[in-house]
Amino acid sequence: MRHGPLLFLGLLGAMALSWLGMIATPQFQLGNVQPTNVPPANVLYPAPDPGLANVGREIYRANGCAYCHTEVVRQQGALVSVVISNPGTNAPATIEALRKIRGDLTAPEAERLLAATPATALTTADKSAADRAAEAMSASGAEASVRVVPTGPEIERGWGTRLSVARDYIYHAPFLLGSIRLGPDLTNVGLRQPDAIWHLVHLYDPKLKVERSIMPRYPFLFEQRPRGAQPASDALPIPGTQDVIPKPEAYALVAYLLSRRADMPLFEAPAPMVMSSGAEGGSTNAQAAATNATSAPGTNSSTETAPR
Amino acid sequence: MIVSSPSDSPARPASDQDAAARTAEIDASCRVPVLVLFLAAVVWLTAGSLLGVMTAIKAHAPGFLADSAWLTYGRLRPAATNALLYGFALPAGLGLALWMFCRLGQTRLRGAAMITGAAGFWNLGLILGTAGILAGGSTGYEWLELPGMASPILFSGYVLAAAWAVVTLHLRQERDLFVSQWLALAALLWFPWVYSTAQLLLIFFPVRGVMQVVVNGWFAHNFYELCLAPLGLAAIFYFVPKLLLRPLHSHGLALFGFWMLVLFGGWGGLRPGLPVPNWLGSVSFVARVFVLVALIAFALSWFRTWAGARAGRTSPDILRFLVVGAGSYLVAAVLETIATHPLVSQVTLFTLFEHAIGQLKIHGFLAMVLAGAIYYIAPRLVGVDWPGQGLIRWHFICAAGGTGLIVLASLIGGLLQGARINQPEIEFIRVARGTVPFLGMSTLGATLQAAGYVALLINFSRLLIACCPCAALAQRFRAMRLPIQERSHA
Repeated sequence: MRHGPLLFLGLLGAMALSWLGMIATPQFQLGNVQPTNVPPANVLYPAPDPGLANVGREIYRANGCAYCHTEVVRQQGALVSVVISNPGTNAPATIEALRKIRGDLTAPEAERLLAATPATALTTADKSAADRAAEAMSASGAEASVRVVPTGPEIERGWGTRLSVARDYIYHAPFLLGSIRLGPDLTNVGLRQPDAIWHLVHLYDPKLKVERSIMPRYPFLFEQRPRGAQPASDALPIPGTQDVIPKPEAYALVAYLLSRRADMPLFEAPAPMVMSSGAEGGSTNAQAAATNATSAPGTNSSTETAPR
Repeated sequence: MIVSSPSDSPARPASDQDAAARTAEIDASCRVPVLVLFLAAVVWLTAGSLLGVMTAIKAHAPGFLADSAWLTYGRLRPAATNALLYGFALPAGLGLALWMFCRLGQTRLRGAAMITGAAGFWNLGLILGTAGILAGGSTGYEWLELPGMASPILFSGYVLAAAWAVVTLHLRQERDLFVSQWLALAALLWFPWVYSTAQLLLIFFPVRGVMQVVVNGWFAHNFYELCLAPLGLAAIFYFVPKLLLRPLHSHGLALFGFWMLVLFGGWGGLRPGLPVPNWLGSVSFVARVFVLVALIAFALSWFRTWAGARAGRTSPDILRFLVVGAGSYLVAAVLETIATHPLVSQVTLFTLFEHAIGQLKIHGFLAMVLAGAIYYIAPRLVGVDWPGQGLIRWHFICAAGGTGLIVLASLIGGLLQGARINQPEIEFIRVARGTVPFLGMSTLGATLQAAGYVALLINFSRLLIACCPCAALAQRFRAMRLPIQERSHA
């Protein structure tokens, strides 16, 4: 082969094809994803990160946290469940309807289940069976609906309620996806561990919180001073002879961590509303999460982190 | 030294004397720029591997040097990777391409002074960029961590040097293009295209959300698959026939493999399971399978060249580097294809398994093959043979052993890690602790690698000191000093 120019053109063409296929096409498909209104709570999702969390993202980026932590939850499949939100007034009929769906339940068990609404009557992989069950329950006078329950080891691990989708990341700039999970996934760390002081102490020395942790310490995010007669008001509650006082970078990083929540059910990624049922409960949880994320770490951290 | 172009029909000059003179002239034109590129590459290789050792230690002993912000794990790791990619692999490949273009094209190097200056510029950008990463200025995109202030310096340095490489190729005397020239030209052109695209779309005018993952994955994949790997392949295609003293088995086969690689190599880099549309993962997998076809063509062509040539081979030391490099390239590509399958990536994505593939690519393939090329080219430019033959063997054993250890440990550790993550009843802390033995083995491997690369650096420095300009300078210096001393005594 003697024709250099042909070689050049062939290479240019191959390069252009790869660019069109792998960059331009996904950009047309995804490049302009917008926040959306999520129906029950009617909140705009996702919300831009609060200012301090954005500063924290820079600390996260600079120190390469993403080399050990990811921010993506994978889902393997989904089940559907029939949730009874209101048993209605015709108790015998609902109990009978419920026992028709769930042959394994005795009458008293069915009654107990209906007493504790919202209750999951049935979880199955068969979508049409769930639809039929919900219809039968509705016919008996109860309020029943079919919900999607995502499954997969990462969801069972408590890393998230559903898979991560493009919409979750609209405001991630830069997007610190992560590559190797030497540490746990952080997509929802703000939900799992909402305590700012826990995070500060953990950043100062992870072994104080997780005994066998292999995470490095980040002492350079803190200032150490000899302890006076009594600990400084903003010192961390840790044993020792020194006061450990978080620098602004540490507060910002913790604000970023606390703002990591992606549990909002979306059209493209349905999920149960409640992640930690103990926290706020009900459908307001998502809204509470959104407002907490914007206010809590930013405004409170400098005052509330005082241990005593 | 015999000039034998590995192509089937080398244009034989009138007589052997003419040929020798011509080769000497060609090598002389390459001497300064290629040696500068190689020297910087070897220094970065050593520096990168030493940073790699520190990274490896810190992965399982988090208390090691923990108090310094500059030396935290998340900064050392990208600094090490970037030193190897942009400090070693690309400049060494560029030096190889320049020399190959001259030797295969039977022409002298054009723009030697400009290339030397560009190499200096490139290294200046890299030093600034590495310091930037350690100071906390990493961009956060893997394989693109060098901060935005460094990338324009790198880019302009690269374009200056690569442009002269293309000019030299264009002005070749021997018009037939050998497969190594196609591969090297593809690599030289591909880099500025993908690098500028990625820089523009990620750092200067960032795209939104998950598109950053798409661009980053596309860049890293293209950078390796169609820039670094073709430079390594060019070395294999050039040196294997040359060292075996046989023509390449089949040009048609190599041509077929080349176009398959160029057409399908650029499509990919996104694993199923990332938060991007599923079709991207599927396209990546399908493209990987097509690339495997290219690999079969390459492997067949190497094997047929190799088969039955055992008696006639020269320089077994250098050949070893190439054989291990070629093997690593094939194994890495097969592993990557497997890891792009959705069922496998459920386990292996986000584990040390991916680290193993990366190590196989950088240390197993690129560092091996390019070091082999340096071992062949550098003494021919200097005119002196390697001072330490034992050091070459030491380098090979350490680098191959260390890389093998890291790859094996990471493969097994990664599979275990992935399997454990997928068992939600196992607490995460137990998953994390479970990786520690494998990370420890990786540290041992990284230390071995570094020992090997230090041997290369020592050998290279001794070669340069023995080299003509230095020796001549020293002689002149001695000659100058002698009369002065005599005068002062008088």
